[in-house]
Amino acid sequence: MNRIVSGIVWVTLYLVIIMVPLFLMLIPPVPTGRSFLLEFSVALGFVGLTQIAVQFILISRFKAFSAPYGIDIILHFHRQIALVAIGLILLHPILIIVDTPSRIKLLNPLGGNWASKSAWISTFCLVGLAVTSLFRKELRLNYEWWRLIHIILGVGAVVFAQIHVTMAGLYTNTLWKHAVWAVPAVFLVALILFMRVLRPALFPGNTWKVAEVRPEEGDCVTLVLEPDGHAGMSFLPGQFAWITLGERRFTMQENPFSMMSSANRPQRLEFGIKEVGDFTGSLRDVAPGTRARIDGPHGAFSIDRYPAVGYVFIAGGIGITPMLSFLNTMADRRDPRPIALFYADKSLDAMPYQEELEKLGDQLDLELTLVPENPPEDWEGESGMIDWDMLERHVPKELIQRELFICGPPPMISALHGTLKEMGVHEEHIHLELFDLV
Amino acid sequence: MRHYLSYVLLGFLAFFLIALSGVFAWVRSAQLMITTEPLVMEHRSTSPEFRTQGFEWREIGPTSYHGNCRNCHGDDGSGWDQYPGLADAGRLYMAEGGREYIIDLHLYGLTSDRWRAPMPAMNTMPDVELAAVINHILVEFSREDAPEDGDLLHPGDIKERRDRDLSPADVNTTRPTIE
Repeated sequence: MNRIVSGIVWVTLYLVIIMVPLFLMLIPPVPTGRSFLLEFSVALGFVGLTQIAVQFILISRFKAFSAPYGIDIILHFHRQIALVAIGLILLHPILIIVDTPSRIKLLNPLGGNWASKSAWISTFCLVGLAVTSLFRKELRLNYEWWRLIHIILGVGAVVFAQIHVTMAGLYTNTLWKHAVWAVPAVFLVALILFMRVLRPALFPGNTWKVAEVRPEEGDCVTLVLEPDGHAGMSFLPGQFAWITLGERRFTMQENPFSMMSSANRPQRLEFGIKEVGDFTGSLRDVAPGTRARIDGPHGAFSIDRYPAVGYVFIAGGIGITPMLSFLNTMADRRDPRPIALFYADKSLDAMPYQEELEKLGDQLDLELTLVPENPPEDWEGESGMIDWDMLERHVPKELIQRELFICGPPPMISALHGTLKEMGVHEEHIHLELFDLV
Repeated sequence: MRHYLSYVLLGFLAFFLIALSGVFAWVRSAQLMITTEPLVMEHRSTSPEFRTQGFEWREIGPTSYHGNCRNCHGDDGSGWDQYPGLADAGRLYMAEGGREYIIDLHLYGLTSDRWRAPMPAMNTMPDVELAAVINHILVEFSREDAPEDGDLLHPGDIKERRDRDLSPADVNTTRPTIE
C-alpha cells in the first residue's frame, strides 16, 4: 500500500514539475492563440525539454532520492522516459510542418535561422544520445567513452534547446518567462558538471587501497579493496558501487561493479569482474596498493529487502557476483534458510568461483545446480538453457513461497522472467538485476 | 517487480504528458486566453456603433505587436537574422494592390526566396486585433509613405479578405513592385 501511495506521489510530482513551466506561459502577456496543431506542437516541445532537463536529477545519484527504489531502477526509468521525451521532441517540428508546410524551409540545416539551427543541433544531440545508448554494443563503444559522450551530448541537447527557446519562443516574451526556462537549464547543467567532474575531484571521500588482484576462471578477476584509514562501507548483500582506480583527480573512468563479499565484512570488499572493456581488460595489471575511490553502495537487488522462508537464485555468467554476496553473507550469519542456486554459462571452464561455491555449500543449506550450455562429454548434470522443468526438478514444490533473484545477460533475464510469469509465479516474488546499466 | 512497476509508471506518465499538452493546446487554440488586454476583448465586437465611433487601434496595436510579432521582427521593427525589417511596409501598402497584399500575408502566410524564414499565417487573430497591429506597424515603422489616418485599416477590411484559397507562395506572387 505504501508503495502505491508513494508511486502516486512520484507520478504527480513528476507531472507537476514537467507541466508547471508550460502552464506558467499562460500568464499574461501571451501571444494570440494559434491553431490546435501548432499549439500542441509547442506544448510537446516544451514538455520534452523539461523532461530532458529532469533527467539530470534522475542520474545525479542523490541517495535520499534513489535508495528506496534502487538506482538501477532509476537508471532503467531514465532510459525509458528519456526515449518518450525524445519522441515528443521529434513530433514538435513534424507537427509544425504539417500545420504550416511553408515552414519546411526552416528544416534546411544550412538555411533557416539561428533559432532553427540550434534546434537542429539539439535534436542531433538527442538522437545521438538514443543511438549510442541503445546500440552501444553494436557500435563497439566501451563504457568509458560512452559515458563521456553521453554527458557531452546531454549537456549539448539542453543548452541548444534552451537557445532555441530563447530565440524562437513567442511565449518567452518577458524577462521572467525567459528566466523560467533559462535558470533551471543553467542550474541543472551546473549540477551535473559538479556531480560528475568537480565533486569527485574536490571531495573524493574515503579512499581505498587495492589489496589483491586475483585472476579467476573464464577471463574474470577478483578485485579486493581495503579501506585506507576509515571504517569501510556497510552495504546490503547484492548491492553495487561505482569504482575509480588510480590517482587522477579528473577522470571519467568510473565503472559499476557488484560486491561479491559478505555484507558482514565492510572492511574487505571483493568484486568479481569480467574482463571485457578497456578498463576491465587492464585490471590484471593493477598493482596492490593502488588508490581507489568508491561511490556506493547503490541498488535494491538484495535479499535483505525481501525476507522469505527460502530463496531461489539464478545467475548467468558474471551475474554470479551478487549471488556470492548473498551466500557469503548468509554463511557469516549462519543463516539456515534453504537456497537453490542455478548457475549458467557457455561452458564449465567459463564459470568462475566454482570452488568457492562448493565451500559455501558445506556451510549453508544450498542446492547448487551448474548449467553449462555446452557440457563436457562425461557431464551428468543439467545443461542447455534453464527452463521451468529444470527449476521444478531442483526446487521443492513450495517454489511460490520463495523469493527469486535473477541476474545475468538481458536475453536470459527476459526469457526466464517470461517463463516464470507464464507458470504463475507472482511478479512480486521475482527480482531482476539488469546487469547492463547501458 | 520493480521493473514491472517502472513500465506501468512510464505508461501513466506518457499518457498524462500528452493529454496535458493537448489541454494546453486546446486552451490556446480555443482562444480561452487572448492577451492581458481586456481591451482586445471589448474591441472584438464588430457592432455598427463600434465602426462609426472610430477604430481605436492605438490601444491594441502595440500590445499585440509585442505578443505576436516582436519576437521575429524586433522591438523597433528592424528585423534580425532571417526575419525582415518592416521599414518598407508603408511603401508596399501604398503601392497598387499593396493593401490586399499586406492583409493577405497576415491571413495566409508568405514564403519567398528573399528570406529563409517563412511568415506564418496569423489568421487565428480576430479582425480587430489584426487591423490594429497592421496599422501600428504601418504608422510606427514605415521609413517613408506611412499612410494617413484615412488610409488605415478597419476590422471590416480584414473580414473581407478572409476565407480565400491562397497559399503562402500565392501571396508572394501578388507582391507589388517597389524600387
